[in-house]
Amino acid sequence: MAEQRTFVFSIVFIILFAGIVSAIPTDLQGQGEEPDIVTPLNPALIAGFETTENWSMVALSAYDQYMYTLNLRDWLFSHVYGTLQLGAKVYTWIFWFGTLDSCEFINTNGTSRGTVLSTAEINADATEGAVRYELRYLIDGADAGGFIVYWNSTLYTSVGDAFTADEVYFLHGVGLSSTASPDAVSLLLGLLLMRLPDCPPLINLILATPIYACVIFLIWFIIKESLPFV
Amino acid sequence: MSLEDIPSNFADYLGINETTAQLLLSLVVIMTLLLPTMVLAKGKNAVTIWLIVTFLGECIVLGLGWLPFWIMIMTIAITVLGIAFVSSGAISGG
Repeated sequence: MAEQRTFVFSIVFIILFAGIVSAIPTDLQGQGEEPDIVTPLNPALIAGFETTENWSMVALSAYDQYMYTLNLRDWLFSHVYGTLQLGAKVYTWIFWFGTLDSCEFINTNGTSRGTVLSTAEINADATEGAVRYELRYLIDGADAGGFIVYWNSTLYTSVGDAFTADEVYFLHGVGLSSTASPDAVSLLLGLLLMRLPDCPPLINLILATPIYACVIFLIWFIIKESLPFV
Repeated sequence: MSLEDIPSNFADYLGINETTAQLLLSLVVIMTLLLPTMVLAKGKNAVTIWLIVTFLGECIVLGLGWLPFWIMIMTIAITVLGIAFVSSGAISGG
C-alpha cells in the first residue's frame, strides 16, 4: 500500500512541478539590466539585453580563451591568431567532449561574417571604436543574442592596435526575445543538470533531489510491477 | 530612481549588502499582501488562498528583479510536495 501511495505521490509531484515551472512567464526573470561598460558607448548598441557578460582581453586564459555561462548555456570565446570565435558548449549529459554550437557574426548591414571574425572585418564594421554583431547559431540559425566589440578609439585607431595592447573589450548580451521560447524546457534541464542560473549549487541540489528520487522510484516501481517474480 | 534601484539604495542606507536588502524588501512586500489575507481568509480552504497570494507577491518582486529566481522554484517545489502528499493520501485512501 505504501508503494502505491509513493507511486501516486511521485507522479503527482513530477507532473505538477514540471507543469508549474514551465508555466512561469520568462519575463519574471528580471526587467533587464544596463551592462557595465568600460568606455562610453552609443546606448543603441547596448540596448535590449536582458542579461549580459562582459570581459576583456586580459581575462583570457593562457590558451587565449574565455569561458562563461549565459542564458543557461556555457560559452567558449576564443582569440586565435587575431580572429575571434564564439560558441556554446554542447554537452552529452554532463560531459563536454569539445563540441561547440558555433555562432555566426551578422553585422548591422545583415551580412554574415561567418563563424571566424577577423580584425579586418571588425575594422570595416566598426564605428568610433565599437561594433555590434547579431549572433546566430550556425546549425539552426536561431538567435543567440548580440555581441559587441569595443575599444578606446582615441588611444587606438584600429582594433589591431587595441588587440596588441590587450585593450579590447567584449560584451555578449541576450535579449528577452532570444530567451522567451526555449526557457521553460531549458530551465527544467538546467535544474536537473545542476546549472540553474544564479542559483547556489547546494540549493540546486536540494531542488533537484526530490525530482531524481521520484524518477528513480517510478522506474523501480514500473520494473517491479512488470516482472512478477521480483 | 526606479523601482529596481530601491534595494541598492536601501542597502546603502542601512549599510548591508544588496542581496540582504533585496530579500528584506521582498519579505516586506510579500508579508504586506499575505498577513491581511491570513487574517481575512480562514477556514478549510484558507491555505489555497494564502498560497495564491504568496505566489502573486513573489511574482511582483521577481518582476522587479528584487528576488532571486530560484526562490520561486523553491516555493513551487515545497507547494507541490504538499499537494502531492495530500493527493497521494486521498487517491490511495491512506
